[in-house]
Amino acid sequence: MKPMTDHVLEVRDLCVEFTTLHGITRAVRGVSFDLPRGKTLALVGESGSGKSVTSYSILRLIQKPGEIVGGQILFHPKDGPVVDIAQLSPKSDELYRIRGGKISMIFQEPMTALSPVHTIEDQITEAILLHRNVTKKQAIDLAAEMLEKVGITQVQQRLKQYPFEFSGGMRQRVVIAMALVCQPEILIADEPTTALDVTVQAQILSLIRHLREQMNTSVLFITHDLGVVAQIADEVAVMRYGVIVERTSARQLFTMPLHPYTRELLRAASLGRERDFPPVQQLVGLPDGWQFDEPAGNGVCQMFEVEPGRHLLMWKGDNA
Amino acid sequence: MTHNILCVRHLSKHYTTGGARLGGKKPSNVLKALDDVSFNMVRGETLGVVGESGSGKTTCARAILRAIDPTSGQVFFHNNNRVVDLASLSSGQLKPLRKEMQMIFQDPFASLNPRMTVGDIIAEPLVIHRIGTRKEREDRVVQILERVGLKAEHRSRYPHAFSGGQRQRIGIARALILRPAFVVADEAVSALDVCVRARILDLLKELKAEFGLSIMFVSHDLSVIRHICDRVLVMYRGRIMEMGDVEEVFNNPQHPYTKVLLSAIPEPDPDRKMNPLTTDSLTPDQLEPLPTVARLANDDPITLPKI
Repeated sequence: MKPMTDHVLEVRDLCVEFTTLHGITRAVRGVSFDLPRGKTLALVGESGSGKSVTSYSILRLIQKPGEIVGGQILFHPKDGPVVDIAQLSPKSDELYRIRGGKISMIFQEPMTALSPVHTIEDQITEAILLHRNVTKKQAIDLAAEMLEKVGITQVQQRLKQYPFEFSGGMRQRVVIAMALVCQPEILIADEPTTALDVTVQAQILSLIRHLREQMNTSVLFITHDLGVVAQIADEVAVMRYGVIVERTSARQLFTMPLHPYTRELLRAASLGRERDFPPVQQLVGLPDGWQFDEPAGNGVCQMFEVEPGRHLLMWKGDNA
Repeated sequence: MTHNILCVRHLSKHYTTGGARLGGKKPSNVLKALDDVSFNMVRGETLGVVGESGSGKTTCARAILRAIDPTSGQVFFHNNNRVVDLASLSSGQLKPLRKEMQMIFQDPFASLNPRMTVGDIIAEPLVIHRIGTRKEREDRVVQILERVGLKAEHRSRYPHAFSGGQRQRIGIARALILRPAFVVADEAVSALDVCVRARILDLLKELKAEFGLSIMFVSHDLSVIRHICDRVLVMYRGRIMEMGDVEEVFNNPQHPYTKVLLSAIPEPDPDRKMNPLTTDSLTPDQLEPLPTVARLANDDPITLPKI
């Protein structure tokens, strides 16, 4: 019997569908992963792979015509019983307490995530007053303290300003401050550095890394950039067409990717510097009758643990 | 004789911001989007222009093409044994030259007219320059479509039916149908996924060799620049800080700002954690262009007689 590892989030067989005029789009088709407490898990994939839909589902932010049609999202708070977020009623107090309080999110575009007509102070204290039992005065102090933590100077003056007075990188710092001010157990970061310059991206990444350690937050990091993954993640899950194809530690993934799609991604990311990998069969024993490629028509898929801590998705056709 | 296709000298673009409005007395400021830029571009090379947002890289490309009018400076364009200063021509004089200079845009969703078929989009440059009969144009469209990896039957479809990568191929076909000598690719692969990006870059490399193109490749993505470019200009606040061969600049950067920029690249290797430098620690003296860059401004641009 393995010792139970401490997971703050367990997603099991999550399925999300969008009903459109042209039929049903199965954006997420049975995704399972664990987020270890205090670690960073990166969800990587190209556009349309379902990585954002997965992260939105965790906060129940999927709107009509999208719907979570199956699976569990088990949240293990530090104190208190396990909650299946997928089962909560959309308007329940419990969901409101979790969303923004215990699990919070930072978005890609820092301008749209902030209200242009409210001051930074109003926006950060709003989150605090909603989730914590403090007075307005205390909330402002907390906001100022948090802004200092994310590296914003002249805080008292900055609090009175509006988002347009901040640069892109500074806005993203404000958004991070807003997300972390309630000391969430999980931070979901959906492409938080994609809209930023490389130099600013480097600063924001080291800020997230630093704050994660300081506040012991677990991070679910959504990105399409493998360079960013290598810099920030402990664990990686590679998504494609609504399923996770490979899930492993960051070090294993970059030194010896197993799934053909992961290899293709890594090759495409390391432009010009050709990388060759030995055939998979020599590395791990794969189950008979299962294949990497999704069969045409109906097929079943299953995650296999091919090495300790390394999971690969395999398919089996109906006629096999 | 010169082998430069482009010699840019003292090119500047200034914008006036602020200023008195509604009877106010606020003094206006001058924003130097492009500040005294000089460089040469060798025929047949891919020249990268890299920098952060606001560094002036797009302004530079657009000022050369006269998509915006530069405040001052010269752009000597050398083509068909003639040298012209693009910056001084009228729009009428520019029109025949536009056949020689084309642009590939960043956003493949915004740069294609949704109400035109792909065939019409690609043929439009031929129509504007009155080239060929209807039949000849159609043949050329089919030819170029197949060359960029699409099919002849795609020409009757509308842009919405294509993926991002395919749309970018359409944009490339439109830019190349006039067989230009000089192409500006402004963040041409930034909106694409990594796998698609790699394929489009390979296509550009092939087409460059086949059509003998000189490409000015504007990008904020250092790994893309390194992959596709022969030489690179590093821009910061409207000025060129450093220029040189791509491998030299990447392996042995001379300018402190280039070092800052390179230190921020996230390497796809968890054992090589980046240790980003910042510009905060640099003094204004250190943010001056390298002496070699500054000297080039005084070089005689072109020895050929002007028309």
